[in-house]
Amino acid sequence: MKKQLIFKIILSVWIVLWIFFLAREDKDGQYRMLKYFYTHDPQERIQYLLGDDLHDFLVFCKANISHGDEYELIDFENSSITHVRARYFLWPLKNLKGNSDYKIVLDKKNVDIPGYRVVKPKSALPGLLLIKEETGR
Amino acid sequence: MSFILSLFLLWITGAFLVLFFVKRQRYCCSMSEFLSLSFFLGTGITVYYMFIFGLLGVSYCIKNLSIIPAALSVLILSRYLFKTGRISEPGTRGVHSEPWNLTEKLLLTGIIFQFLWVIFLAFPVPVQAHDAVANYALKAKILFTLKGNFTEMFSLSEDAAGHFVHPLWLSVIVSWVNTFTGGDEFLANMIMPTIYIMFGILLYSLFRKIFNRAYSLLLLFAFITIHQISNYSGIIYADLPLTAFTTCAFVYFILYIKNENETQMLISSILFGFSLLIKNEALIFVGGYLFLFFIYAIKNNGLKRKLIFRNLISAIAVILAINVPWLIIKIVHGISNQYIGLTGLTADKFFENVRHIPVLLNSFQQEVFGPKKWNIFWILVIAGGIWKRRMLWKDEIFYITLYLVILMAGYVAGYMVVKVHNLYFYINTTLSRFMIHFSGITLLLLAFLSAKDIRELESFK
Repeated sequence: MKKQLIFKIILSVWIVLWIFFLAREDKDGQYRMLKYFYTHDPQERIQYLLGDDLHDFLVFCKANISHGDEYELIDFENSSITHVRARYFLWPLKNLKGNSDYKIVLDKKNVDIPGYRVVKPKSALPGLLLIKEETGR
Repeated sequence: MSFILSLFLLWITGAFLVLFFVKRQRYCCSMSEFLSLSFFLGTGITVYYMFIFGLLGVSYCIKNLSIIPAALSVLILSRYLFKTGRISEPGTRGVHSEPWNLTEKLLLTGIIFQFLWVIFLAFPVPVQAHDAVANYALKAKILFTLKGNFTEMFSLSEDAAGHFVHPLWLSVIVSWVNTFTGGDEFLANMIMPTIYIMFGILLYSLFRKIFNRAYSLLLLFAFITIHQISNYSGIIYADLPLTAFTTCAFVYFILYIKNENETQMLISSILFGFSLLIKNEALIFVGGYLFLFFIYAIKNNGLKRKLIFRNLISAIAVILAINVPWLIIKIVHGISNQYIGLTGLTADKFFENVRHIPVLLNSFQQEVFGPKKWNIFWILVIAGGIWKRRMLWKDEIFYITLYLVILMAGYVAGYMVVKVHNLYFYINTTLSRFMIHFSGITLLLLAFLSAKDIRELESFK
């Protein structure tokens, strides 16, 4: 009888905690995000995940960098979620530190790196693309 | 459809090996064990030959990747198609004919709900978690676009491809799915719920070999509803696959000790061998396994001891044979672990790490007592361990307890030889994940400790 009671208490606590943490929205707004994902197409879901501005900026960069070329991410906090998602999104373009033909600069209105010219996106996007001058693009 | 096909080809590859055990070694398994074990063995065998393809320069395309599963399918069909009586062989044991009681029905409902819930959460989500995009899914994307060209992948800088120190099992499996789905990252993500569900089914099948149906369902329900476990079943991280392989491998080892069935020892060794292809942490599990095997041998006498030593040598041979292609890849491409290990670890760094032990213990107690991730799992384990402390070192429970001690010691030692700059950060970002790795084996311990008491309850008789 006593064991039955202990077991029932333990199982009840387990089920209550299970359902509570299952139903509770996590800090990233899990269910709001899920609702969006279930009602939008794959491309829009990726855009949502990256954020509209960053997504459009990376699409702009991808369109202006030759397939398979190397780029460097500047002012992306190293190993941050934005940094690794941008790198994942940009593949097959290759991220490289140092002397790459392209530099993708985040959150800057203007930047001057000798030997590189700035290509600004047409609309107000959160970054700049720098292209090495001798690439001739 | 293409995703289902990719899973089916993985499964059929493993099914061939399981059917071999059933036919040649008279191994008895239930249909659920046959289904789920085939999946895990299939993923391991597939990664094995994809490594060989990578070494030989055979490109990853549907045609090349389908050759082996197609050949194995023909062999299976030729064996079973016209002898339909044999197809039921894997299911001849373990079928429970008694009607299901209310508790069992409720537990099964909870289990099915949890499985569907995990699918619901993962289905529409792109690859998004940190280590997925930074490592596993990124490498899968690279392998997919380079068609398995290892030379080109390992010639990339780590800035482009992530750290190369991580074994490639998960990336190769995701690239397998990518090859069949044309690189659909949403479908690639679905491999994780599949692993979660297959792990649950295999774990249940193995519990059924030890405990009754109601208790096995209760154990499965408890395990899969731990949030930390289900949270890792929708993101491309290697922690859940590692847990699946090492937990099931260890349960097979315990079954081998109980039943002295050499096929179970062989399956255990194969799964442990594959676990080394998933995460480097598997080294601790495999080392502990071989140590326990040795202890098991010396606890016996005469001819039996001789036989166990022979089996131990077979286990080492199987594990080594499974890891040869990956070791060759590591040697050819000069892959070494610059983050953890004794080489290059200074005394100052070691003692600095030792000074972080209180941080480690503090993080550990937060995990244990915080219900958000682990429900009351670890509290029950501690309570069960104290309440049944006299049982901890008896019979087969002795091996489980000793194994857990070895694992914990191994992980703490691992933290102490970390060469990263900020160990505090490393502990905070890894501990809760690392606790997943030995949660399945801890559940097994709790299951043994509580079995007698639970069986006394009306619903679990």
